[in-house]
Amino acid sequence: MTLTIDPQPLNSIFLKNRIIELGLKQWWLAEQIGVDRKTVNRWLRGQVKSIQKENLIALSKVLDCETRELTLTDHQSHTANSEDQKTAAELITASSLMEKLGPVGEWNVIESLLKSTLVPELPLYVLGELYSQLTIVSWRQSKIPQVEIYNKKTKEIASKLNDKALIAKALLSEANIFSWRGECRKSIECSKSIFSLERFIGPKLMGSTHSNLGGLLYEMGEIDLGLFHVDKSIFYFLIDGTALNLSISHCHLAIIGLHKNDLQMAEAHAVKSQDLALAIDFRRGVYMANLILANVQAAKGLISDSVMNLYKGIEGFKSLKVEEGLNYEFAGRICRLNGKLEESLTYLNKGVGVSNEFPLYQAAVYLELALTQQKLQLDHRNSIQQSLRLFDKCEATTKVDFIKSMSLDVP
Amino acid sequence: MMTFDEYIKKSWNDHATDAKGVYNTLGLGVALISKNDDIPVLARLINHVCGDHLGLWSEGIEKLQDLTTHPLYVKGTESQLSIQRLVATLKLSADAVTSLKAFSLSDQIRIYALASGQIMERGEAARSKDYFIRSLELAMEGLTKEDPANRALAITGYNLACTLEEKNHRSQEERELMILAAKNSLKYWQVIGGPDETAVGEYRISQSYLKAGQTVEAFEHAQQSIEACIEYNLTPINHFYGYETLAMAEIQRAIRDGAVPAFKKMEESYSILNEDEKLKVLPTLNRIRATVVSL
Repeated sequence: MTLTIDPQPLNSIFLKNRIIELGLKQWWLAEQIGVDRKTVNRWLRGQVKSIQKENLIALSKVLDCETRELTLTDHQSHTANSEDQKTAAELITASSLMEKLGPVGEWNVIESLLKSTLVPELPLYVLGELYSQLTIVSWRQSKIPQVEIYNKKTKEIASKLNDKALIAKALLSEANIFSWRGECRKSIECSKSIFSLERFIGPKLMGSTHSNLGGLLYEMGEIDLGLFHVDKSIFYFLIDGTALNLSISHCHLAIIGLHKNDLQMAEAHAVKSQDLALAIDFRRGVYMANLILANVQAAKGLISDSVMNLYKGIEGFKSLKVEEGLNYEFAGRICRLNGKLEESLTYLNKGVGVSNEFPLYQAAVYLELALTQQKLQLDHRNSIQQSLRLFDKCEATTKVDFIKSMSLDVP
Repeated sequence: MMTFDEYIKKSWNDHATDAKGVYNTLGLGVALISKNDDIPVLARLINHVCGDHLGLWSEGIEKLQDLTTHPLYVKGTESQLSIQRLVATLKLSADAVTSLKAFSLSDQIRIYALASGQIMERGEAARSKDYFIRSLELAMEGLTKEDPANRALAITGYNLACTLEEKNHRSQEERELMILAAKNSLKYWQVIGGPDETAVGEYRISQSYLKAGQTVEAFEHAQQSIEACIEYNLTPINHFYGYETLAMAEIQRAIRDGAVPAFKKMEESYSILNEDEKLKVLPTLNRIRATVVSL
């Protein structure tokens, strides 16, 4: 019996997901279906809008799925409508990407975003990628409301297309959003969902997920678990990552070293992080390493070295117009260790102010504030109460227990 | 009378089966040096035999340093640079170096990579891993395509993966290092090599995954290896190895319908190998045949 030629709209995203799921390669699939490898490649790239029915049936047999799963329904139409395109273009124009991202060297992101808007009929999966990149761009500038808007769009498109790689990217952003809001358990759950999608995502995204999760965990007081995940991130980044990724992971390890009071570990990783950051002119990474080194030196009593690194770090962040609770927490602690208590208070009060929207960071700043106030024999009860309240709100029970065990006058 | 080039060729041919014998002839190698350019060539042999095969760190260092007193040795040339680099490698392997900051980025990468391979051969997995990771991290600071460190990383990754695959038991850490090494071998072969290296690199990853018990990944990379063979019309031996690892992955997954055709492709490739190649791979072919029949 011969089949009639009746082309069907092909769901290339489903096809891509399915062959990843089964661990198949294009040449093998082509051999099984009896088509040229280039044809399979075109199917996967979405360059073919329809597929011959006999190929569809053959594919469904080889991939052990229904033919309807391989075809598009109306609501999965491949092209973004003109309203979607207009919105995307407007958002990109409004975000002044050049000004904001130039100093941190994200030129490739800027380029790809701008290029994406130049496509006349933007395919929906490109639009999804575009929103995903916009989400990342917004993280880098700590613009939380924009992160939420862009990520919602990414998720909508990812679900519509059932694009698992894009779903994972949206989940990573969602994990960050939860972590910033202090909804730590939800953030951890998001990360776990990403791990379950490992087959659909590359080592870079796996590395980023481990790195972010590790960072969250040690901030919650789960130091060893944090260390485990950051170590994992390095494994993935060494397979496919960038110097920037690796610099951030080493920065996490240096901070873990400080939490563990292992100054040698902290210093070694801060130096590695800084070397990598310097190699690619990742200035944020360079200045963060300055602060960590200043902290190590202050703990060792090397006051003049510590003051010099503190100055470099703080002035560096100022030049980037970056104000974060974490930086002021470091500056406050360094000054306290160096005996500059009034200066410490100034930094920590600033830190409390700028971390209003980030309860986990604010909790850490309040804790530092309490320590400085105690040293100055000031009333530190409010600071410690705030720290406990915020860590508790963030479900950081280990940290709460740790604070209660400290020789602070805990109310 | 043997020439220097003949001596070097023979030594590299014999060293894998008779490292001690080659070690005992190194004095002859020194006597046969006829120009300054011969010195780095002999230095590499000394490093490899003393370091990778015999673990004779101090003897190797002494022999390398002796080369600087040779009448044909010229300071400020590759002879001096390679001796410095290889002495540092053997010192690092002996755990007698704390900083390599005096060397260029490229040299630091090469020293860490070479030392990593040497001490893995001596069974020191943890330090080997540490050095290999240091070399990879330094490489991420930026290497040009022409940098010889790319080759050092590709070879070290490949050898580390092989050594770990050959172990009867591997810890979780060793399994991770094996995969990391195999993947980075391919990554750096792809910087400096062509399709042959891609096929071989994918084969190595597939084999490492097989040893790690991750058969789906082994299957995927076996297909990648074959894809490179088909795409670039590589030699029959490349095809043979590609289908070998594909068949092994299918056997481990107990998928007879996949293992049988893969084995047939192995036989097809075998039939067009040259006699030397046939001799070399026949045991593999027979082993897989026996397993496929029993499925």
